[in-house]
Amino acid sequence: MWRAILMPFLGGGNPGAPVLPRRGTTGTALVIVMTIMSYLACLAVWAGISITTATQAWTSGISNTVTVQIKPPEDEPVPQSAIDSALSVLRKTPGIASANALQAKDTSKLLQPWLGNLVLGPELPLPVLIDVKLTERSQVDFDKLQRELEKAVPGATVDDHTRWTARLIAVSRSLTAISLTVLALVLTAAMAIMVFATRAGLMTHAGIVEILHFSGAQGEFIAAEFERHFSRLGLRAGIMGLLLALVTLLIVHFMTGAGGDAQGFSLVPRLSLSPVTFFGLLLVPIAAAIVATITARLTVLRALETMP
Amino acid sequence: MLSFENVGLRYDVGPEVLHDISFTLDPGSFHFLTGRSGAGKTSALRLMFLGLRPTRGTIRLFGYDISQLPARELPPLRRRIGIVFQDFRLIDHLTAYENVTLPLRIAGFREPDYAGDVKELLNWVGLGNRIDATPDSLSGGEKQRVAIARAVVAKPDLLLADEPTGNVDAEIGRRLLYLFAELNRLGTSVVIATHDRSLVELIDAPELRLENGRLQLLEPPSARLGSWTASAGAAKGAS
Repeated sequence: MWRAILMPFLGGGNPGAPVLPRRGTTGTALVIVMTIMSYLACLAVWAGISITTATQAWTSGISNTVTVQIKPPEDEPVPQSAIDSALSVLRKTPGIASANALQAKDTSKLLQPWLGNLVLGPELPLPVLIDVKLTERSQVDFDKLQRELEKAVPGATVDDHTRWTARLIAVSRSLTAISLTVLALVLTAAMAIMVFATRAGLMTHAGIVEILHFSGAQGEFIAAEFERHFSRLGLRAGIMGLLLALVTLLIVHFMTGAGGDAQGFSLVPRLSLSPVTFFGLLLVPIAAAIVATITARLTVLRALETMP
Repeated sequence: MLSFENVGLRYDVGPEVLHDISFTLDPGSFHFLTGRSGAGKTSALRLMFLGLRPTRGTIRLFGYDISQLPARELPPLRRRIGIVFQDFRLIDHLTAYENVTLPLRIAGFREPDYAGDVKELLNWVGLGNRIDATPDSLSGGEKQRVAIARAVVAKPDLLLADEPTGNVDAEIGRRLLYLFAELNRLGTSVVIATHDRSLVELIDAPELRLENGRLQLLEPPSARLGSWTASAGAAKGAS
């Protein structure tokens, strides 16, 4: 089976001139439709890989950190003693590598996207954030840590980011599933189109097929003639779809990247064409050719079963 | 070689077009299949080359009951049969040479092994200078000869020809008939379907005559005169 599928690409198959004419087996319309299918498949592959990669980047960036927030008493800044107490509790906790309180200017920077370049004075009491780095997340008992911090510094809370990452992962998985569904639908549609095209080819060349059949050709010989034609068509359409997708992605890349936030707004990572994505896209034309070949083969063999 | 036993044929739910056909073709035999236009000659030939399945009865080909054979085992049997179709059935975009080589390619031969023989055969049928011509540039007679060359190139055990001389002049028709006789002399069984009585008279061979869907075996003229012996085969008139 695999030998038969690979033969058209290895220059093998039936020796001699193609028994089916190059022209007339399928029209330009089929090439266009298969190109569009390949284009959509490329976009689905790109979306799936990009979303997965981006989510991994997001979650790995925050998976080994937690943030402790100390809310200020009413109209007063957070006293240094409270910060020291919190740091003391944190640094004694197993599984925590380091704990550093953000300075007021750092906290101001975090607020800049929302409040602009205002100079925030002590008259505006801000919560103190402590950036905590973990050696191993599983070693830390967050409930116990929360209780101890609450006891040492009333109003201190631990944000372990799990709510954020869980939601992010859920969204990411949904989007990846949608990409895979789109890919599966495109694949199914492409196969259905190839079945119709092969049947049309069989009808167009019924006379030739009959000659081959009655001359003693096995089904594989006849199928190989159709495979030779459709594998090349699939590969050609796949390459054209890939090129169109690359042009689209370059446009998207420049539109979303080149004009991005001057401060490097990093909540949403840029969707780029990574080597992994590019490799995934390269597989689309190959997959298109294989799908076209297998579908043509099975369709021809099934059709031949109805012949005497 | 080939035997029919009480074979009947109907198309879909229509009336039976062939009734209780029974005959046996021995290896090396030569028969004409005759009958008026519409008598069922083409249907009978299609049954012989496994182009149709009988509605009833038994067909044995090369010792096999074809109704018992799985589809996968039929192609090797078909390769032992050469067919000349009434409408030639040449492949339009292939050259005369490529059309003739088709049965050899199907049988798995490589071009270096057969190129010389095929060119010689094309020369023999008078198409040596037309090997690169495609069917649309060939005359009816030339197409006929390409079709015949294709049917005989793989040296089949059984040659079936449907009105093989219908599109050629009398002289070419005679030459083609003698080609069939020569093949027969080399061991190929030959069945020629024709309604042309002048052709039948050229060779002293038995006749399978179809009338109203029934088959009648007529002895060759010489036997009818008392000199024919069935074991002698055929093609005496050609030699």
